[in-house]
Amino acid sequence: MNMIELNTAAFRWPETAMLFDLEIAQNQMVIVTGPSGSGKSTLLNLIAGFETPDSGTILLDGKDCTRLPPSARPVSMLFQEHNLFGHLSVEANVGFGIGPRLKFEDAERAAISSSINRVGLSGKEKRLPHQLSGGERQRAAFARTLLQDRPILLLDEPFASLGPSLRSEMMALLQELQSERPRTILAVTHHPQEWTYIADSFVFVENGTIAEKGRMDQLEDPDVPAAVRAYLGIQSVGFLKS
Amino acid sequence: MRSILLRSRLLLSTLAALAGFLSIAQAETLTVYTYESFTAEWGPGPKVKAAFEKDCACTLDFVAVTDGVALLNRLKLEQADTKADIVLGLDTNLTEDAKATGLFVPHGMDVSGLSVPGGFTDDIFIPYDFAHFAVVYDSEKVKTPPKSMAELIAAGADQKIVIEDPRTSTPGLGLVLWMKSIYGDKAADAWAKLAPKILTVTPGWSEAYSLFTKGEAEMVLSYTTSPAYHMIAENTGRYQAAAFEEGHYLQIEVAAKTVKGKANPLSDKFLAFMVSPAFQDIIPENNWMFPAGKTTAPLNPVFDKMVKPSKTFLYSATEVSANRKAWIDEWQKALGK
Amino acid sequence: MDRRVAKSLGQIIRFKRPDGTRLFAGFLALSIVALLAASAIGATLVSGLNARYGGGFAGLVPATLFTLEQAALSTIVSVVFAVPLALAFESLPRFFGRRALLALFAVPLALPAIAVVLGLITLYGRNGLIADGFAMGGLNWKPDIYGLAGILIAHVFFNMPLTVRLLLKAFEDIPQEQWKLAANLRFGAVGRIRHILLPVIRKSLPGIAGLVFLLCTGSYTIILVLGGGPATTTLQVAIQQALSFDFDPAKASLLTIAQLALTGLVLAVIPKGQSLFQTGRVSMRRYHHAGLGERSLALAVLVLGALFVVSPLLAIGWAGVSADHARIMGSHLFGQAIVTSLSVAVSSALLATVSAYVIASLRYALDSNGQRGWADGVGKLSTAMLGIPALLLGVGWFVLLAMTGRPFGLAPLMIILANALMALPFALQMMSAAVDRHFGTDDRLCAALGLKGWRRFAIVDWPVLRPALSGAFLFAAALSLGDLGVVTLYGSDRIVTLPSLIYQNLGSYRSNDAGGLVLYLTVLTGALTLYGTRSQFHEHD
Repeated sequence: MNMIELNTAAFRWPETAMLFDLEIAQNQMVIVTGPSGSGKSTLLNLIAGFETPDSGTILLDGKDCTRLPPSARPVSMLFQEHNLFGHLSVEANVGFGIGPRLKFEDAERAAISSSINRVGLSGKEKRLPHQLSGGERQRAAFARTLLQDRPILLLDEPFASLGPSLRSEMMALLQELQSERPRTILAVTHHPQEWTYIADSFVFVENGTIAEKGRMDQLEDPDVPAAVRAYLGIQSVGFLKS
Repeated sequence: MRSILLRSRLLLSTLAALAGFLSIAQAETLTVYTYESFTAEWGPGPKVKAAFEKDCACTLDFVAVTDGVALLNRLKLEQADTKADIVLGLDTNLTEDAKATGLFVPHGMDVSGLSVPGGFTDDIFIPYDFAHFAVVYDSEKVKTPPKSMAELIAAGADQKIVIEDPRTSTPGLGLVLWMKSIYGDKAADAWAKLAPKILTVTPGWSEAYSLFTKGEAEMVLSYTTSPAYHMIAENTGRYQAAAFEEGHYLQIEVAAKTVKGKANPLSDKFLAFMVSPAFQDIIPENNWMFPAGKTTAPLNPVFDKMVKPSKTFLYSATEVSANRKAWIDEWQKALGK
Repeated sequence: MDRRVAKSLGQIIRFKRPDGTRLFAGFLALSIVALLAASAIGATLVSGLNARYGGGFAGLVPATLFTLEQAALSTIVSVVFAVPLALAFESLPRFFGRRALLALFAVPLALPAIAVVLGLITLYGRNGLIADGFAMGGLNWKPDIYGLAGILIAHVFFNMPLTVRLLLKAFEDIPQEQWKLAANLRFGAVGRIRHILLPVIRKSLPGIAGLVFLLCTGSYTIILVLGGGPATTTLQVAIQQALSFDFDPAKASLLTIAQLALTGLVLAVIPKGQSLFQTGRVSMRRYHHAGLGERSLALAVLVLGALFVVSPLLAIGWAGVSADHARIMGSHLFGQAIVTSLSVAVSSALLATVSAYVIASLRYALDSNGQRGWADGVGKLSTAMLGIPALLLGVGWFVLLAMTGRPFGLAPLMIILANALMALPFALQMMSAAVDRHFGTDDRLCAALGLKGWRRFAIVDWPVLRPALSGAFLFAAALSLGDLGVVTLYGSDRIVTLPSLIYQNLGSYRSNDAGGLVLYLTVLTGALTLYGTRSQFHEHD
């Protein structure tokens, strides 16, 4: 079954017209890559409901979500920054995964605590976001998506502001979480190479449309289109593995 | 640091030079300090300037500040550096303070041609116009205007009067002096009785009169000549002054020559011009006051309809200067309850 | 040179990461501002000008108490009404006339106090529309606007729209991710207000409240005209008195110092604004769909607020329509007044905006280095400028300039400087959040690219900060347009501004024409603000 389905979903910015056709099966981890301004974020925004297509349909979890507001979609989302509310503790921020009221029963409190524990932040429940490192902040945000318990997770360059070792740490965490409780994940990245071992497939967006897609290993195919090769900076076959 | 200092000095002197250039005095110039409503486009200023310049082959330069009080304050600030040859627009309540600055010189003129009620004369200050303070009322709302201060004080509180603050305005001070003239030691009681009828106390005449013409109050403290404006310029007899049996307090506007002006032959020429019909003709229908000197022709008959006080009150400048604070304190205490 | 100074400044305040230009330029601007203010006060104190302290200082205790009482009440009421109204504006980000309505909210502060008083009286006065309404209904009830209630209504009319605009300005700096998250996390109206807007309100309200409080302590015409009599005397009245009949500038200075100390105490009690460094992009886009309940409530609040602000403006406009427009326009003074007012407003707004930018940069530099106390002090010192009466500045500077021999020749410069000082705190409040966010986002990048100085400003800072800077500029310009201030002291037939022309008319029985001029001032301010905010609402990110 397809968890995400875009059927000729059209969207127009003043300068560019975009048109997306996309099917993603349940529990797949797919990366979205492509040049800046090609429409990667717009694609995510359409799925999350932050933009509404001018025409076409968007089906999520088998349901037509084309006109639904973001809050009614089975989607959780993380950004590069500002994923936490600065005036609230880690605990409260994670608690938003349960509901916006911040009043919890014991069972919910336990769930929050175990999520925080799961991402490795136990002991830091009471800290404010600015008392955390960049990586810890993203961990807290991941803990929240665990509690949100929605079948689709959208990641808009979530590790872009982290250093290489933190990035691989986060990647590992994401992989663990995915194996424990699989979700359909769509992640925008400019570093597809880093996702080679954890993502299932890639989508290449160019000029407002999906120009290429395939399994991760196909990124290295000799017959991958020139545009993809140019974007990845591949000069020779086997570059990625060397 | 040095260079910055040098540069800022350069800047300052450039600015000063620029300023000097802008206000550069021409050879034959008479500088007259006055208040704004005198020099307003519709005030007497422009006509006075034209009439004076016609005969003197010189430039009459007005510098105007807000009102008579600001005029005196500006002189106190400038002291001997003042540019004023003539100061026009102080009133008799301010002359004592003005004399104390030592900035004025006797006029040495024969002013016997002038006539103001009470026969004010002074060797330094020459009166050019006058009017009595009066309660002006809206005849559409006030059918039986008070005939005396006593009646005003005794009246019910349903009809209100707006007065001016004696701490900041000439008419405000005028009313305090008027009350004192009538009631003497009992002035505080009179104020206390008047208090419920006072709608509010404004910083100056402009605010009070605006409230009045907007219909907020039935009465306002203004001048006996106020109705003339409405009758001549607006062709309405709606606003009238109430004649008070006790008498009315007088405001006389005066001008004088400064120490600096003593050296300018145009100063004497201007003072002579000021008491002549050429100047006095302009006053009634531009400054809305009674001329102190003779005019070429009789005044517009409307002025004959103005209240003619049976008695004129006027404290000497010395008395005002000596008692002003105490009397204002008395006013403030009586109303401040 | 600036590096050396910056370094020693850095040592004085234990600066970890000296940020040369910002420290130097900021402290320089701040010193100039403080010097301009202190020199005026100092000059009047030592000049010996009539230092008689006439009347002594008796009666000042009740005046002080009433100053505090009315200012505190006015501030509280203004804020209490402004917060829901700002939230309502935020809830309804798009409706026809929103921008025009907000432009009208900029008008009250630009009007001379007497014009506002007359407008309010048209509604709430004894002969006002409300009284007429009751009379038509057969009821003989008249509202009584004279007294504390009238002072409060007028102060709220001045300051509530100001607060709304400053709050909305602060809302503009919320990163768009937060709005997306709010939608994704299924926040309702309460969640959005509580977790996104309230933190911003908490951060900016102390500064705004401080501004409003100072404005209310400096109020004079309103206190006298609507106060109803000498029972409602404030320190400001005593200061004006000392600059009027008594002419005792030294006393006025002492009273001003007392008033500053008092407001300083109040500012000190006001908690420091929460430090919310936000980086990232902002946009006017909202991603939630407000429910019918929320929208109806917002609409109701908006209608009430708009009614309160707009109806006196309409009354003012209505009173102005009947003026003799041919006579006003025909006057050569009219054109002159518009040109003078605009040039003064533009010059002082430019000065205010530049100094506010430099000072905001300094504040950011201090705050981002953990010098919160210093940063807070910088903001409060700039705010304190509002506590000095323009007239006193004028007298003080005069005394100083008397040494150059032609003090009144510099009158235009003095008027511009005084207006700039008055506008500085507002400009600072308008741009602080944007400056903080922008520097927080782009500083590292600029450092990496070696972009600095003027080039950096032109390439990076100006394009990003243009909305904030132009917003501050317009606000300052509106403020100076309506200010009579030092013109009254220096004023002559050579310098005629719109407000001074209004007073000239009022002073010669011409209240109708004064009404017409007030109408023009209203339209001018509204149009300027509308024009200046036109580009702030681009949707595209």
